[in-house]
Amino acid sequence: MAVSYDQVIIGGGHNGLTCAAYLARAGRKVLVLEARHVLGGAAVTEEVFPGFKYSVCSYVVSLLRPEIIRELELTRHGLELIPLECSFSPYPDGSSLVRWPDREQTRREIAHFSPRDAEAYPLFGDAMIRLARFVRPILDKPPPDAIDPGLGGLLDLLKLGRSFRRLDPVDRLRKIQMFTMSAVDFLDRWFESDALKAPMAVSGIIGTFLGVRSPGTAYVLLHHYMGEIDGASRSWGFARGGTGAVSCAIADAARSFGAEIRTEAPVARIDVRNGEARSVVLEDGSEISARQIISAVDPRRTFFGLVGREHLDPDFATSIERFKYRGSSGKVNLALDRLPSFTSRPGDGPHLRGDIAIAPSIDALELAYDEAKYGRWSSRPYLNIVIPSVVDPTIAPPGKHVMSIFVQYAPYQLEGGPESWPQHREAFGDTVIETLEEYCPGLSDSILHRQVLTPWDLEQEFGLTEGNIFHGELSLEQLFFLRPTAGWANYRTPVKNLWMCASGTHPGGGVMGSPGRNAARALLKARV
Amino acid sequence: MTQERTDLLVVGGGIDALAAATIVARAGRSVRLICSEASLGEIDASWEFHPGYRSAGLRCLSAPRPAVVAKLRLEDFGYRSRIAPTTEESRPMSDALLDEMAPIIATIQEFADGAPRELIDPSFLELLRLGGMLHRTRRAIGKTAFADALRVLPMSIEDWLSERFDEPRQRAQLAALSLFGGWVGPLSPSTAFLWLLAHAGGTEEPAGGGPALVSALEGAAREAGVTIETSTTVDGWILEQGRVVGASTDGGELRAKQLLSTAHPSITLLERLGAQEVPAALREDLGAYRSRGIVAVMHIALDCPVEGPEQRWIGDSPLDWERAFDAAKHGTIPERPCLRLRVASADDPSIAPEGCSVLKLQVFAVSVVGPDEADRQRETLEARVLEQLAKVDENWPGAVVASELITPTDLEHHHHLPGGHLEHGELALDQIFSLRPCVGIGNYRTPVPGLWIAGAGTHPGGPFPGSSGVLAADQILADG
Repeated sequence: MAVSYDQVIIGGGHNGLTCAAYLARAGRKVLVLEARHVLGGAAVTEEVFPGFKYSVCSYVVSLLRPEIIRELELTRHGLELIPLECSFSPYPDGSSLVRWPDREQTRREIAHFSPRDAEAYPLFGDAMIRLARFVRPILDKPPPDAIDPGLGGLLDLLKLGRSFRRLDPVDRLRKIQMFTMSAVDFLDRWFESDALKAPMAVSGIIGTFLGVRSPGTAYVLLHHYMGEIDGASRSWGFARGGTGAVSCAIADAARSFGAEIRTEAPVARIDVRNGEARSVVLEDGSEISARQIISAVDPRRTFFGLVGREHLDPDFATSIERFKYRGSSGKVNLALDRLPSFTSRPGDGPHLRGDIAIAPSIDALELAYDEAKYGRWSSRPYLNIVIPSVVDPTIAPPGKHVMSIFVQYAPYQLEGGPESWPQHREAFGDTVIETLEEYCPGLSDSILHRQVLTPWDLEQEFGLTEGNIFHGELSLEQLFFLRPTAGWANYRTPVKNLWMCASGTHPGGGVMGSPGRNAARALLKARV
Repeated sequence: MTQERTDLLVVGGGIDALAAATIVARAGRSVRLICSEASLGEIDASWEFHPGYRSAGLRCLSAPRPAVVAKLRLEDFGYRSRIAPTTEESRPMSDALLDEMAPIIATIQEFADGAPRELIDPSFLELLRLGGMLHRTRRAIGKTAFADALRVLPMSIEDWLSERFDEPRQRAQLAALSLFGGWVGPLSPSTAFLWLLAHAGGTEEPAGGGPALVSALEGAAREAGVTIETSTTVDGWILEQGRVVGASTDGGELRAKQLLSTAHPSITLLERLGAQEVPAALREDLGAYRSRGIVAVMHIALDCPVEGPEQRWIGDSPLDWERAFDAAKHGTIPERPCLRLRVASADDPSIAPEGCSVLKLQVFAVSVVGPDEADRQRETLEARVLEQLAKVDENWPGAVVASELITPTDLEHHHHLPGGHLEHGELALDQIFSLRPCVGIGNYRTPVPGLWIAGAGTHPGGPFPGSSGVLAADQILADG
C-alpha cells in the first residue's frame, strides 16, 4: 500500500480543492484525486475549440465566499474576478430592460415598463439585503441540527432565533414567506411588470425541477443579494481566464500549503472494513490509505458508487436514495466570429458586459417548465447567457468571442429515457439557437463552433448524478440540516472516517466554496 | 328603520357563522344572524337543481372537530357523523401513511383546535409552548421519523408518494385529496402538507353532508335564541367614529355592539368597509391574499340507480391531474378534467326520486374566465366531464336528466367568493393558521373596533368546519 496520508479527497472540484487547501494550511498531509485530466470539476475552463476557452459548465462565480478569497490568498494565486456589470433582458416585442449597478440608471430603465416598479425596485433590494444578512451566517458553518441539536446546536438555534427576532416584524413575515411562497407570488407583492418579474423570478428555479410558480422557490431569490451585503459586486462575476481559474487558484493555494494533487486518478471504490473507511482504491488497482477519506463527489456516487450499499444501514441508504437530483438544465457553449447584435439594443455596448436573460414572461417560463414535466425539453427554454470575452480578452482570439448559454429546462428523464439524450443532443442545441435567433437574428451565421451539453453529458463527463449541477436539487426539503439527510448535515457520514465536502452538503451548490471550507473546519475541530 | 340594538350581529349564513352565533347567544348575549340567501348554509346548502333532485352542498366536508361537536352539542340537534367513503384500492396505502404520520397529523389538529398562535412576534412563553409541542411530537415518533416528517412537509405529494408506491394509479388515488383546497397540482411543492392537512380534518364526515350539518347547526342556533333573518342583503358596514356599529342592509340599518362577518376576508375588510378605514399595509396584504378558484362543481341527475363505490377519483395517473392543473393555470379548459365523484344520493336518498340518483362532481381544474368566455367554457367543460363519466359507466350519459355546473366564475359572481375559491382562499403554507388570511387579523380581530372576522378564510380554515366560528366566538366573549 502506498504512503499514507492524513486525508485523501476524492474529486478535484472547487470544493474538494478548497477543503484540501484548508487542511494543508493546518499542516495536514493531504492528497486530492481527480478523475479527469483537468482540475475544477464543474468549475472548469477547457479549450474545446482551438483559441476559445470555454467555462464549460459553471459560467459565473456566484457567491464565492470572501473569507475563502482572503484566507487562501487567492488573489496572490492568480485569481482575478471581473464583476458582472449588468443584467440585460431583451423581449420579443423589441423592448428590453437592463438593470445596472447604478440605481438611478436602473430606475429609468424600469420606469419604461412601470413607474411604480421603478420606485419599488430599490426598496426591494434593501429588504432583500436585510434578509440576506440574516441568512449569511448560516452559510459559513454546519447547520444546527434541528432534530437533535445537542448543547452546541441548541445555542446555535437560540442565536438564530435571536437574530430572527431582531428582524422587524415585516421582515420576519417576509422571511417565512420566502420559504413557502413561489418566486412569482413573492415578486407579485412588489412589482406589477412582467418584464421585471420574469428575469428576477428565474433565479428561484435554477438547479431545481420546479417552475417559477411552484411554492418554495422564493428563497433562492435571496442568494442574488447575498453578495451585496459587503457592498461589493465581486460575488457575482467572471474569473479572468474562465471559471476554471477559480479552481486553479485554489489548487495553487493548496499546493503552496503542501497538498498533493493528482489528475487522471479515478477512484474505483472506498475500502470499508468494520464500518470504517480505511483507504481508496484507484481504478488502476493501487490503494492509498488515509486517516480520513473525504468525498467531494455527490452523495449517491459516494455511498452507492464508492462505498457500497452493504456497508450502510438500510434506513440511511434509503434516505440517500431519496435525495433528489433530476437535473433540469443543459449548457451550450459557442465560439463566435463576432459579437451578437440584439434587435432591442443593436450593436456592441455595455449591456453585453453582464448576463443576458431570455425570460420573456412569467407565463412563458411556466410553460417551459410544464413541457419538461412530461419529459420534453422546453421548446422555448429560459436562457442565461454571458459573453465573458467582452471583458476578458484572454479567452478568445482578438475580435472573436465566447458565448456561454445556460439552458433550463432540459429534463434528465427524457420521454425516451436519459440514455436517449445523445441522439437528441443536436436538436436540443438547435432549439437553443432558434430561441436566441428570435432576439438576435443572424447569430447562427457567426457561430464557429458549438458545444452542447445535455444533462446526460453532465452526468457522463462530469460525474454529476442525473445532470444536477448542484449535486442534488436545491429544494427546501434538501437544504440546511436535511442536506443530504437528517443527522448527517455536519459533513460526517455513518461510515467512520468518511467525510463529505461538496455541494451535496450544506449550504449547497454554486461556486461558493462553503461546503469545502466548512467541512475542513469541522474536521479540524473534531481533532480526529 | 332602526332596529333595537343587539349585542352581536353575525353576517353570513354558513357553518362558521351559525357556530359563532350559537356560542355567543348561549353566553346570554343577544345575537342576530343575517344572510343574503333564502336559506342557510351558503355553499354547503342543499337546493333543488331540477324538479325532484336536490344538491348536497358544493364541498365534501370533513366532520367538525370533536371539540366543536361537543361544544355546540350538535348531536342533540340531529348531527351524526360517519366514516367518509374512501377508495378501496388505495385504502391500505392511505392507512399505512396515516398511521406513520399520525403524530404529525395530531400536531396539525392541535394547532387547528387552539386559537391561532402568534408566529411572527411570539412571546417567550409562546415560543416555549411551540417548542414543547414540537418536542412532544418528536418524542412520540422518534428522531428519525420526526426528521422525515419535517422533510415531507414542503414536498410535492407526488414526490412523497413516489418514494413508496410504484403504481401511478394508486398514487393518483392517494394524491387527489390534496388538490382541492389549494391552487396546486400533484407536482407542486407543499402538496404533501396539504394532504396531511386534509387528513387532519379526520376520516369522518357529517352523515348527510354539508346540508345535514347546517340543519343541526340551525337547530342549535335557534335553541340558543339566535334571531335568524335570511334574504337580507348587506350593502356595507356602518361606521361611527372609526367603529363598526352595524350593517346597512336592504331591510334598513341593523345596529349591534359587535359585528362578526364570515364572508371572504376581502369582502369583509375591503368591499364593505371604506378603503380609508383599513390600514394601507393590511390592504396590501389582503390584496395579495391568494384565492384563485380551481374547482368547479357539477350536480348530475340520473334516472337510474348507481351501484358501486360512493366515491371515486377519476384521473388515472398523477400526470393526468398535473395536466389538468396546467390547463387551468394557463386559463384553458383541460382536455380530460379530473373528477372527485360522489354519489350524493347514496348518503341521502331523499335528494333523488325513487330509483334515481344524484352525482356530485368536483371538477379539477377550472379557472375563472371573463364574461365573454364563460359560455364557451361551460359548454366545453360539460361535454368533457360527460366524456370522462362515460368511461366510468357508459350508461350514465344516456341517463342524465339534468345537470348544473357551477364554475369558479359562478362562485365569484353568484356566491360571493372573490376569485372563485371554495375555501375562501387557497390553502398554502403561507396562508394557514395565524397567517390566514394575513398577519394582523389572524386572531379574528380586525383593526376596526367592533368588527370581527371568521369563516373558511381564517384560522384554521375549511378543513375544520365550524372551528373558526367557535374560536372567534371565544375571542368575542373574552373581549367582554
